[in-house]
Amino acid sequence: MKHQWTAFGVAFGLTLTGHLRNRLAMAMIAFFIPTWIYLVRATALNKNITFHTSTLGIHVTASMNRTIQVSSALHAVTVIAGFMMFMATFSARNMDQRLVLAGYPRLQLLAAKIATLLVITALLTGYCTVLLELSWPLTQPWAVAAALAAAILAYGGLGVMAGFLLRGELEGFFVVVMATLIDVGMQSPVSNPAGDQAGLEALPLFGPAQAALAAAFTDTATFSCAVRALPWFTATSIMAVLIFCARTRHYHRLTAARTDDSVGAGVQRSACGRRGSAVCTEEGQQVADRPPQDL
Amino acid sequence: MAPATRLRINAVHKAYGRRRVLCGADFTVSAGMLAGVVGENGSGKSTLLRIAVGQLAPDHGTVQRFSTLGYCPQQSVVNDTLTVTQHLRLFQVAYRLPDLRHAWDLVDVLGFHADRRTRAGELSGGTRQKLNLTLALMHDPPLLVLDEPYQGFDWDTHQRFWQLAGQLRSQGRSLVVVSHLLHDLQHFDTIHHLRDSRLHTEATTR
Repeated sequence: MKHQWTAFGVAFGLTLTGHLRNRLAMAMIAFFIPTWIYLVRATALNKNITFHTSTLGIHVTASMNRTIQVSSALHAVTVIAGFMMFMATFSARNMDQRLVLAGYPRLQLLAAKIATLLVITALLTGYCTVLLELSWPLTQPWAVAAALAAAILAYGGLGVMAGFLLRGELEGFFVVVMATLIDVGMQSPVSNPAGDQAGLEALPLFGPAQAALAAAFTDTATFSCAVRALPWFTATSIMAVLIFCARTRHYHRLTAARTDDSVGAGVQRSACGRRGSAVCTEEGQQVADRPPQDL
Repeated sequence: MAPATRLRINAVHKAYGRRRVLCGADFTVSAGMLAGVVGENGSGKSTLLRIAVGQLAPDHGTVQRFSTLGYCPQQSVVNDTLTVTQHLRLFQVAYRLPDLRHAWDLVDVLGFHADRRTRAGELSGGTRQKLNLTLALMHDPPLLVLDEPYQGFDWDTHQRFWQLAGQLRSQGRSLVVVSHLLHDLQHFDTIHHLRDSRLHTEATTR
């Protein structure tokens, strides 16, 4: 049990270190989010619009300028979270494969990635909520934060999945940018005033966008609306686990090993390989309490 | 008494689609043996090694390993955002090593101790390969499978690698090394030439 905690702790610390060394992401957090919110605040039309939030069943009347600020904040945090998680997963995936083959526990390696996503979610959410709060007093800042957090988790999970699935950095970057662009555009009451198209509710930002907008301007309870993004987080995380396990499979992992030249006492034989014709065998003396150290 | 067998590959076949890469490859490595695998580019050397270490499944045939092993892939598999020390820490956990004394000794032998705090992404090609090799050797396994482990090494380091390989062999370790270089062939106890998808054992001058 102690080793498993050590494995999680080391992987978590070094995954977080990798995120902090992603200079582009750090620069985007420091400059891109406040600049975007400021530019919208300075330039967008400041007249009232009324829009309908279908999940809460209410009509909201709010400044178009502030509405776009909320949508822009959602867009900024989802792009950054998706990009950070994609880059961290993509750049480490071959190394992860080597680590698992060397005996690193898979579960701890993956749990560390998800734990860092939770840390990033907390930090990005707090930062972005403060920036919006500085722009104008939000009606329910905690509810806006919850909506932002749900959106970050959904796109962070998507980033992890894309990091295991896609072949190139550019592909991943485009997937994250285009997905958030379409999603935010479809959920924004300014760019899509009707907001009643079929399938809209299946998009990751459907719940968080409506929750964030309602919480920013009304007293309506929005938590149940925000959590509609969590199935996306769960589904993408499960997909990431499955892809990771498929990529790091062993074809004949050593479960019994002889570590010196003495004659092995036991013989273990196990079938392996994707195709039935491949049979790999391992023979040797059992080494107690020692995990396989294949590579 | 005959030396113990560490690795036995028997009648292994592998094809990528219609392209046959290995056709009935047989290969045995004993304790204290330094075996060379040679062949043209794309002849299937790396495929053979990946099958040997369990990273790839053969279509037919058997692979038997009788000990733990260390594998050095042809391309450096490192994380560009982490330093040399951080790589060693991760693999210390993977191998469950109580300390990193042996790993640091290897770092000294290969001559990149000054880069211990440098991120892998900022290392030169040769130093990345030194790190790649260190990660395969740091748990001192009885069987080493090394796929062109000295790519990018300067001449001195290349020589030090062969000295290290000689020491490991004399300590009873088994080494399988893929090589392209003619002047490396003198180091091998056996040479296995991969030609037309088949493995031919050739005589050595040793």
